[in-house]
Parts: sequence; structure tokens; C-alpha cells
Amino acid sequence: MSNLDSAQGTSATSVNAITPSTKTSFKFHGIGGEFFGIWIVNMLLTMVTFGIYSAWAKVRTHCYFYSNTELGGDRFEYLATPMQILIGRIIAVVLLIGWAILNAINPIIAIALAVILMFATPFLAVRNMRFDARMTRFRNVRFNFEGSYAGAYLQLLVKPLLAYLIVIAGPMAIAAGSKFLSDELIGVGVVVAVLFFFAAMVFCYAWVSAGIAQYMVNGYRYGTKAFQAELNIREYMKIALKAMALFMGAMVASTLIAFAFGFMFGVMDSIVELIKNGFKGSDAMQDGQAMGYMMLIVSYFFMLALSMVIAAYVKVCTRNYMFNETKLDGELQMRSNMALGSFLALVVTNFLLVIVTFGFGIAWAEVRSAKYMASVTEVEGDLSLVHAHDHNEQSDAAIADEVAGAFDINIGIV
Amino acid sequence: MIEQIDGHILAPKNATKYPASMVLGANGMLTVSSEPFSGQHQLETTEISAALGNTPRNITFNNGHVFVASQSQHLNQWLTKHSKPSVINKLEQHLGLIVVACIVTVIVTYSTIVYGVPAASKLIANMVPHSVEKQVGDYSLSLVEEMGFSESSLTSDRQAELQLLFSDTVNKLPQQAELFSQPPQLLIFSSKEGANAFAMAGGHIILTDEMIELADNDSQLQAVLLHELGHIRHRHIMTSIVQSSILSIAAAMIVGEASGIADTLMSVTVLGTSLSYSRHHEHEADNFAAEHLHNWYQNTDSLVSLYKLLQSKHQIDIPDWASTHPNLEDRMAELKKYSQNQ
Repeated sequence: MSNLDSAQGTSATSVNAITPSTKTSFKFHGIGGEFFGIWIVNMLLTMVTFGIYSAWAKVRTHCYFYSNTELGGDRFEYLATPMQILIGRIIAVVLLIGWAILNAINPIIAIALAVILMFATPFLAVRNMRFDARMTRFRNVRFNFEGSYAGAYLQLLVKPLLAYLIVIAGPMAIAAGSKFLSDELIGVGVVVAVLFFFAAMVFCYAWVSAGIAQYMVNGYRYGTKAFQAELNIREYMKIALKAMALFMGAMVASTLIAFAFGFMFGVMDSIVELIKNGFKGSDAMQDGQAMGYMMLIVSYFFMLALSMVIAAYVKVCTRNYMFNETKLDGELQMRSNMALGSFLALVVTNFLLVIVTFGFGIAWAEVRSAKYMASVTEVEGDLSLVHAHDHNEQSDAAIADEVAGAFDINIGIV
Repeated sequence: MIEQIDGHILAPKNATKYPASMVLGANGMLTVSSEPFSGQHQLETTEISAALGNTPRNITFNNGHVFVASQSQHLNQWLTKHSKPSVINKLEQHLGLIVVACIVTVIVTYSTIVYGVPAASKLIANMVPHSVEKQVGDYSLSLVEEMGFSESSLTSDRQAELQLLFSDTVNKLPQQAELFSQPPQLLIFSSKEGANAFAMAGGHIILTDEMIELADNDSQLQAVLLHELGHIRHRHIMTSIVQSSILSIAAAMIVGEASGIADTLMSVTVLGTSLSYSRHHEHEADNFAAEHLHNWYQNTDSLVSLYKLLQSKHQIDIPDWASTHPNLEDRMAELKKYSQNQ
């Protein structure tokens, strides 16, 4: 018993006081091989039970990732029970099957369903975020989401619809208006309309994204303490402009390279020949078609790669910006240090890993992603000073969570 | 053997940490000591977080205090010895089972895609009420003009001739009442896209002027009509609709959990799979035509010669795996083989 006594003697000081570092990094301890065992057994049991086990599989997967995520000596916990998930999942599957049948049979019903889904999306998103937050616990204190439905409808439905309206109808109105004024002005009108289109796209993207991110961050709670962020539309516009410049630059460069290659291999000759012969010479036609297919395939992969780069760039910039503006109750400062090079390397290697292993590598890919995301995320401030208390909210069923998942409603900001 | 481990205690519903130590007794007795919470507790009265790989397991006491070990392996080992073993956790670490699971997953995925989905789709398609199928057919028929089809420029005599050929062909089929839920109908259109023939839900077959001009004789056209009747006989259109619905539901369920990469790969897989289903339908329709051509004329030459004409017209070389129709060479070879084997 002497051991116990000495331990009790030191208990007046808090554990965190021993390490006075004010920066705490997230750490992910999962191992690819270990998670693969969990993943493949989940697959097997899900198949053997005709999908029923998938609810247990989801809980075990989430638990694995949460429990392996460490911050300041404690792990996160996932609290949802398989039964909660199963009920939600059954309802989601029934809805999805009904949806697929109605969609296939009658196109008018399909449109009506799409409109219903559009109007349901903000509601589902709120319920989804609330469920996920309440199922997440750290140091005995659960997270929560208290964003209002009104806010969700404004940010996730009204503003995006308005943005589409501005981006699409604006340029059309300008072009039509200039034609109405004078037929000679149509050229100027089209130029102005195109410029307006790009400007409106950048602005609307920033306006909508900043709004959604701000709504979401400020809706989250750790226990009863609120997260806060002031997000600036201007920053999102900068990101969008840079992404657009990156895209344009890549397109111009690739076109130049394509032309250079074309001349090098005499493709142009066969195209010229093709035009001269009026598509009659079957040899030239064959050549041209083969080349056409080659070009199509090459440009498809180029666009795939380019869209990956752009998506990665936007994700890196927006996540870093958003995290670095986020505080918990004025005590803790979030930090995100993602870098385009390392993130792109992760995305590309994961992509190849999954393809080469015919999908079996997903387990490793997910662990690698979690490791990376944890390594670039930090909390500034003394964690031990955060005296958070759990809220007493009840956790509702997983219905909205599962329905949102099934209908692919993903409004992730992290 | 008595062990002592260090860690911390979290008070109920509170994020404050208190240093703590716990003595792990040989008989499953836990002795906790910390500032807010001390005492002896039998392991059975506590709640232990589930065993899952190497993740640290925590102990929640019945008043809500949680003990978190600094050296989690220590506590995990002790808990493995003293608490009910977790079967699922053992399975997840069992190398033999993992290998079996890999093999089963590959086999089940493959056979579901190759046999399961088509069989299930056929079953469901056959359960679709005729009224629904007719509605689908009427709707696609209403879109025909938008798809670039216009009124046939053939003379009404020639059209009447072809209608007669069609009804003769249908009537010649044995047990036709069982083959078709509704009497099939032939519609002739002119098309911008050139020679074409296809079947729609509800039993409509569309033949284009260009196809009629391409054919050397009416027996070739009869062969084409038989091929399309094969699609209707096998309810291929409804089956395709069901197949694509199943695939999209499956894709939604799977992708719901994964990243953007999986999304891209999934759409490619779904496209490739639907194309392979479509090619399978063409084979079935060819077989239907071959069967009857062989019964009536003891050969399948008319269909083979028409495919030859089509082949000379269409030079585009789409790779097999990226096409809705199988390679014409293969189809012709199979048709020839059919008449030789009978």
C-alpha cells in the first residue's frame, strides 16, 4: 500500500503541468496491417450476414480510428452503438431502393424526388453533424453541434441557389441586355458577360464556402464550450483565384506540349491529309481515329490528374485557413499545417495503392490518410486548463446520419 | 501476481485529469487511488471499452470515473487475461481467417457482379407489372424525335411490306404468346445516326431507313428483327434498368464511407460493369436469333452477312471492354459456330 500512498501524495498537480508545452499535436497510432484485419473481417461478416453486420462494422471501424487518435495523452472515443446504426441503415436502404425504383420508372417523379432531396439536405446535414458530434467523446466530454436549422437552410440551400442564379443568369442577362440596346454592342456584351461569369464564380464560391464553414465551425461545441471562427470571404476568393490560375496555366501548358508532340510525330500531317481527302481515304481515317482515341485517353487522364491537384490545393488552403481561425472558447487555438507537396504525395500514392491492390489497399490508404491528417493538426494552449463539462443532450437515432450517407450528402469541412 | 500501473482518472462528464494509479489484483480486483476517486472495485462491476487491435482500453467505474493507463499495453494484457475474451477481436487478428476472408471477398464480389446481379435483375424485371413496362416504353417512345429520329422516307408500300415481314416473323415463332407479354410492334424511322435497330421497353422495335437500305435483302432484315425480338423476349430493357439501379445503390452504399478516390474508381467500375452486362444481352439476343434462323433455314448466314455489312460501314475501333456491343468478328464467329454445332 505504500506505493498507493506516494501516488496520492503527488496527485495535487495536474498531469499536464509536467509538460508545459503549449502546442499539442494530434497523433494517430493505427497500423495498416492491423486495420486490414479488421476491415477484411468486416467485409466477410457483412457478406455472410447479407449486410446486417455492416452496422457493427461501421462502429468497429470508427472506434479504431477514434481510439487511435491521440491528443495530449488521451484518445478519442466513438460512442454510437451498432443497433442505432442498424436502424438508421435499414431505413436508409429502404428509402434508397424506393428512390431507385421511382427514379427508373417515371422521370417526372424522379425530378420531384430530386427537389425533395434538395430541400431535405440542410435538415439531414444538421442532424448528421449533431449525431456525429454527440457520438464523439474526448476526456469524458462529448462534442455537440448546435447550429440552427434556419442557418443551415440559409447557408446550404438559399445561398447556393442564389449563387447558381447569379453565375448562370447574370451573364445571360448581360448578353441579352447588350443585344437589346444595340446589335453592334453584342460583341462587347459577350466579353463583359464572360468576364462577369468568371468574377461571379470566384465571388460566389467564396461567399458560399465561407458561409458554410463559418456556420459549421461556430455550431460545434466541446461539452458546453463553443468553437469560434471569423472567416473572411476575401481569403476564400484568393484561394479560388489561385486555383483558377493554376488550372488555366496547366491547360495552356498542356496545349502547348500537345502541339509540340503533335508536330514531332507528324500527327498534324495525317490530320491535314484527313481534311484534304475529305474523310474518304480509309487509311488516313483509321490513323486519325486511332490518334483521336489516344488523345481522348491522354486528355482524360490529364484532366483526372489536374482535378486531383486542384482539389488538393483547395483543400490544403481552405483547411489551413479555417483551422488557423478557429478557437475553442477563446482558450485553445486550432492549427493546421497542411502542405500541398506532402498532401498531394499522400493522395497520389493512396490512389495508386488502391488501384494496384484492386481495392484491398483501401485499409492502408485510410490509415495513411489518418496518420497524415493527425500529423498536420495541432492545438495551441494548455489543454489541462480547459475545464470542459459534458452537455446533457440525448443522442438521437442514426437515421439522418445513415440517410445522409446513403444519398451521398457530404458537407465535410475537416 | 499483483501489478501496479500508472495513469489518470477523468471525473464524470469532466475533462480534468487527475494522476492516478491502480493495482491489478490476481482475482480481478482493481484498487484505484487518485485525488477525486479511490477504492476497490471488482472488474465485473466496471465497464471496459471493447478490445480492438492495439487500441488502449479504458475502465469506466459505475459512478462515471474513467481510468486511462499511461502504459496501455500493460492494462490491455491484464484485461485480456481477466475479462471475457472478445471473439471478434481474436478473429480480426487471426491470419488464417484473414486469408480466408480475402479469398471469400474476391469470390463473392466476382460472382455477385457476374452472376448475382444479372440473375436478380432478371428476376425483378420479370416481376415488373406490364403496365409499368408499357409506361416506360411510352415515355422513351415520346423522346424518339428528340433523339434525332424523324418520319421514315420509305414509301408506304415498302413500309407495309416490312410490317408484313415483321408480323410473319413474329407469328412464325413457336409459343409466341408465352414469349411476349404484349404483341411486339415495329416502328420505322429515319435517323441521323445511320443504320440502326433497337428494342424498347413495352415491345417496340425501331428500325431505321438506313438499316433497311444497308441490307441486301429482306432475309437479312428478318435476322435483325429476330435479334431485337430476342431483346424483348428476354426483357433486356427492364433488366438493364434494374441492373443499373442495383449498381447505383451498391455504389452509394459502398462509397458512402470512403474518400473521393473511391468515388472515381467506383464510377469507372460501375460503367465497366454495365457495359459488360450490355454485351451479355447482345449475346443472348444473338443466340435467340440464331436458334430460330437455324430452325427455319438451317443456317445463320443472313445475320452473319448483315453484320459483315455493318462492319464495313463502321470503321471505329472501340476496344471491346469499352463498348456496349461485343466485337462483331466474335459475334459472327459465334453465329457460324452455332449453325455448325446443331
